[in-house]
Amino acid sequence: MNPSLTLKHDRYMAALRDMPPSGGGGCHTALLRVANFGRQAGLNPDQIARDLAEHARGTRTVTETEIRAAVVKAFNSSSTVMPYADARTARPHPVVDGAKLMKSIVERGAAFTEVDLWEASPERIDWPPEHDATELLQRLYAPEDRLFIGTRYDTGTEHVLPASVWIDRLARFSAVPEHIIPNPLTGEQGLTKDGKVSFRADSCVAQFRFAVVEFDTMPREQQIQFWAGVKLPVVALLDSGGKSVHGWIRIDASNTDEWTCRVESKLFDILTAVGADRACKNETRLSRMPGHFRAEKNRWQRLLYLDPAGGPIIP
Amino acid sequence: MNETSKAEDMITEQAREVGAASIDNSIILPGGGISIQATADELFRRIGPTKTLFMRGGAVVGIFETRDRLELEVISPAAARSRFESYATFYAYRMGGHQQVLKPTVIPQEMATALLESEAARQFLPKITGLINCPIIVGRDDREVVEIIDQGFHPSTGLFITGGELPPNIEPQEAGKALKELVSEFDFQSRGDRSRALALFITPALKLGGHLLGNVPVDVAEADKSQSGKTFRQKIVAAIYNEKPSLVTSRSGGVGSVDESLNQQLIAGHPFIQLDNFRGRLDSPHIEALLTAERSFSVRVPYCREVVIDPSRIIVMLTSNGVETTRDFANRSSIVRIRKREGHAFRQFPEGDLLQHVRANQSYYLGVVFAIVREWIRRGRLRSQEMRHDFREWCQTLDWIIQDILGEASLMDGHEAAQERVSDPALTFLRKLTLAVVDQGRAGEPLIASTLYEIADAAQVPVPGLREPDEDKGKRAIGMLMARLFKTTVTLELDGFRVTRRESEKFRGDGGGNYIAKEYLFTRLNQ
Repeated sequence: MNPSLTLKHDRYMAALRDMPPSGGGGCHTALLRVANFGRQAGLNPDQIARDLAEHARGTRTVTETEIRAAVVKAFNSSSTVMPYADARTARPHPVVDGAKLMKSIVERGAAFTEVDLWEASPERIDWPPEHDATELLQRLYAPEDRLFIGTRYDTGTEHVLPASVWIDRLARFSAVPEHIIPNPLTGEQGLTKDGKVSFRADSCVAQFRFAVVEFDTMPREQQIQFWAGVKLPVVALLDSGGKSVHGWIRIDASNTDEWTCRVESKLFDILTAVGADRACKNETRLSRMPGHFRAEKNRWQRLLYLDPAGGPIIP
Repeated sequence: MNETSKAEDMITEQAREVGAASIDNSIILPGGGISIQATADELFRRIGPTKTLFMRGGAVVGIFETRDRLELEVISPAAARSRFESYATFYAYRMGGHQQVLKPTVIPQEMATALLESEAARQFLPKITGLINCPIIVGRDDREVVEIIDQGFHPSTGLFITGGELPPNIEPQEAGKALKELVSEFDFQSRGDRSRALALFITPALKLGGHLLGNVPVDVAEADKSQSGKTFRQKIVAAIYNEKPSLVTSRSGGVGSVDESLNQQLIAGHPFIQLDNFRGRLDSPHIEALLTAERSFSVRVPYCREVVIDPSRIIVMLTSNGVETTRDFANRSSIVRIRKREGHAFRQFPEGDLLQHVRANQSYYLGVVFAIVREWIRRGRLRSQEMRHDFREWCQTLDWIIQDILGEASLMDGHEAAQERVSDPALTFLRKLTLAVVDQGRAGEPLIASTLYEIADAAQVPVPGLREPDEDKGKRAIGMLMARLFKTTVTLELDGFRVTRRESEKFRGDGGGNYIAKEYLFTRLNQ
């Protein structure tokens, strides 16, 4: 072993020995750090996972999935120190008063109802809900963009098809599936954070075009006022067929690092402060597919607003 | 998608607008994932709108107060360290436990250098071309409309107007009269010299306001004697614009040379640069290049990076009692010759002399110049057909203004002869010799070469080609020089004098027969 690798191996071993206990001691954070040191020392993922499992101790059980996720992240990140170095800005994140911001946004959009959204939509949605899917695909995607459309548990290649194929299929005979991943995918297999093979893992994203934003607990009327009043490049608003209005926001990030920096860190820091669901921050977030009929609720999932360029609803 | 339409920036801005986001002025220095570009972007985006730092020819410059006025100065990396702190508080990522934390820090000098040289500085800082201490009159797209802009930075011209009051509106007739009053007590060599003197009062307004796009000549003031008012006239020109000429001192070569002194003044950014009381031959390719440069001219001074300045905002002035220069420099000059008025007592004003009067009434005299410019614009920005100067746009425009608005003689009358003389060392010598002859009361007297050498020697007029005083070599040098000058003519007229050469047969006292003697007669033309 060369001297440099020896030093790195020693550092890895020291970090393993000093790993803090689980159950509030900082063990979860340390898993990734130690895995990074292991990667730099030239060890393989399986070896590191075994070492972590052996050294993890404390009051909380550290699962194999948790360890595997840390190892996968260590090996998939472009840099173990700062994965989104190129996109990091020199301005510290502002501390946002979510309640104050939400209040001002809702006040700004107070005059809006669902009808006003429809009126304000740059694309006139004058087709029946069952055509929403094809109309949306035609307006937002190139024919060759590969899209996942399916149910929550579909992961196979047959659900990742070019937009043109989906349009043809949906127009002719198919019922519209329940979900869509708004960002085009590669159509190739990738690894999930758990290390599982999938066609819709974060690593399968080909274009980081849209972020999905939704609210868990906010009344529907207030959600509409939020979307009307917020200054974001809104591309589409969808009625989930339940209580939610899903928003698609134009992002156009160039890679996963930029997405992480801009969306997962900056954008969702603010959106979470105003009550948005932080779980939506990843690039393969499922959104409701407009044009799907939710039989259990007897309601359509449908388009409320469509602006392919993306812009604030109230300029 | 551009920077301002990014989702995260839009909602951050909205949060700031409604006071829901903390506004702090911190900027993170490079390191720990922050690139130099990111820091530079953040820093110069903030500085740009303040209009306190500018880009000038690739260098970041600031406005500094010197003893009596404001000047532009290149910001050195050492100065930038503290200067940047007035715009932001700086932090850097440091390891704190197992994660990076932000800690307050100061900017290392190396980092200040990198920031000053960054692309972001060029992108976000306004580009400045110079300073001027009075309002200027600028044209607008619709050709007859003008606008007077006053204090502050003006992106359209790149000028920072540091002071001065808005001038009053004056009728063109009154303006013409007031302008002529300013030159009424000078004894000009010819009517053309007077016209050029008047033109040089108006030239800066036309140039700084962007009405003249081409080059303007050096204002060369030449007098027959010292204390005749040549520097005084140029000070009046600058005073109309609420400025004082920036002096360039005449030293030869090396550190502190004319070129270096000129560069320092060019970097300082003031519009009037004066090479005062020049003696000897002015042969500076650097100055000639400045006068013909279109939009950029490289200057550098010791311990400072090179700066590319816009020479179109610079008015160069030169004074001398006997200009001797190259043909190229002469072609780029507007020569105004004045004679000393012996025993004349110049008019006094309540404020003091004419210069003090103009300074006290600067706003009025600026209004006088603007009235003439406005009248020229009103009448269609016309030009004459004058072709006797290399800088045609300047020459034809000012010739039209001088003749058609002010009713004076043609701008270029007598100018070609003056150009010829200042660029010919022999003619320059003959002029100085003529003045010495007149001074010593020998005008009208036939003089031979050896007598002329004695006169030149007594008046300390250097003889071209003679390195040290030597009577024998001196008279031969003068003889050869005169032979060349009078090769095809027997009379030469220059600057108000006539020199006539005549030959007469003289008897040699030693019995060697006769010889042809050449004598020179110096007479004043108007006598």
